[in-house]
Amino acid sequence: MKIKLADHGRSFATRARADEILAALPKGRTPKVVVDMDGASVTPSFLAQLLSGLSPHTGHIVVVVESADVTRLVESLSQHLGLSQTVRVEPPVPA
Amino acid sequence: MRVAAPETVREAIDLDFLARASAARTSLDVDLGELRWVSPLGIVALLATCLSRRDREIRVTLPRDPGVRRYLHQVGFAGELLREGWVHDGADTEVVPPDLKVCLPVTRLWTEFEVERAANALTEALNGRVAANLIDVVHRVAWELTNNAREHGSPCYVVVQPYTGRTSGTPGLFMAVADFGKGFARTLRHTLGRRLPDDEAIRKGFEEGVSGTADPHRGLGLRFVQQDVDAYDAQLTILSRRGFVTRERGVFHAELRARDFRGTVASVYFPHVLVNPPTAATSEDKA
Repeated sequence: MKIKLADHGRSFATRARADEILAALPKGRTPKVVVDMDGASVTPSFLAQLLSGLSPHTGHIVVVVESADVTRLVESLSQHLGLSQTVRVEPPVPA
Repeated sequence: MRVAAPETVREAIDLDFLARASAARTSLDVDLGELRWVSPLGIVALLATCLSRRDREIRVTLPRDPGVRRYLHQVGFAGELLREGWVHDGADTEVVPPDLKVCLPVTRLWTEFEVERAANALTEALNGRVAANLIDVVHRVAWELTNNAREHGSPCYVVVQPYTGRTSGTPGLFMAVADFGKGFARTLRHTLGRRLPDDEAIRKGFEEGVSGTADPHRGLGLRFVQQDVDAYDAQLTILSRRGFVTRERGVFHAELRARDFRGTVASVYFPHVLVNPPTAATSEDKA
């Protein structure tokens, strides 16, 4: 399953916004979720809620991130949320 | 209860005059007549204070200085007063649309939906005015501070404005958020098991895992704000009740003030982030 944040907007600020996106996803477990953050501005609160909400439904979350800042953010959050083994960061594939 | 602003309301320490406002029992008169210089931080603090007393009668006398009055319209402050019926001044009876030079005019945020809408508006406004990679940084800091204010405090006001650097010496972007909640010390008391002095409580709030909620997975937001402030040479100030904390060049300074501000005001100044700094039309320019 792939979540392209840019399909949902440009900026994502609140936990409630993450819940909205989570609620719109297909129900059930999936082996892998790819979260493409290209072109999206996110807050730590939004991202924490999104990753926490995804983790019960999958064993692998791949977050596609270009910037070093957001890469650090995802890695720190994953560690803090106890999701280091579940979340992996990857750079976008060049077009 | 009547409170009168000094000539300059620029820093958090200039907000002492608002400390008495919380004692207003029947009505609150805020006299801005002598005001000659006000920063965005002062503006959101003033509005949050009025909002906290909204069940009383509120009358705000606008500044006599025409330049400051004009700025208060441009930044959306006067419009908010008029919408709320808080203006005690016959000369300003029409809501003037905020100036587009202000990235995000004074905005009151009650709900998550309003936060998202404001976040989108700010992102749009920053496009082309702030280096692309810094839009994400400004977004993270502005809305993490806002989330904190709303979640642990109360409805809040936020404003984001470019500075020319004519007064401060450095062009940049200034943001301020103010709420009238219980402040850091009371919020953290439940999780820390004791009430820290206000200044120590603010410092503690930046430590990883320290949160006003009981959730062990929370308590990272301010840590990331600190990292962004340090990484981009920004300056952060937080006034929460009697606690006043600044962070600049990677160092915290904390002090316990005599006066009690009933709420929290946070501001961040990002220097050198504007692609084309403004040349006029901020309060800073008229100082």
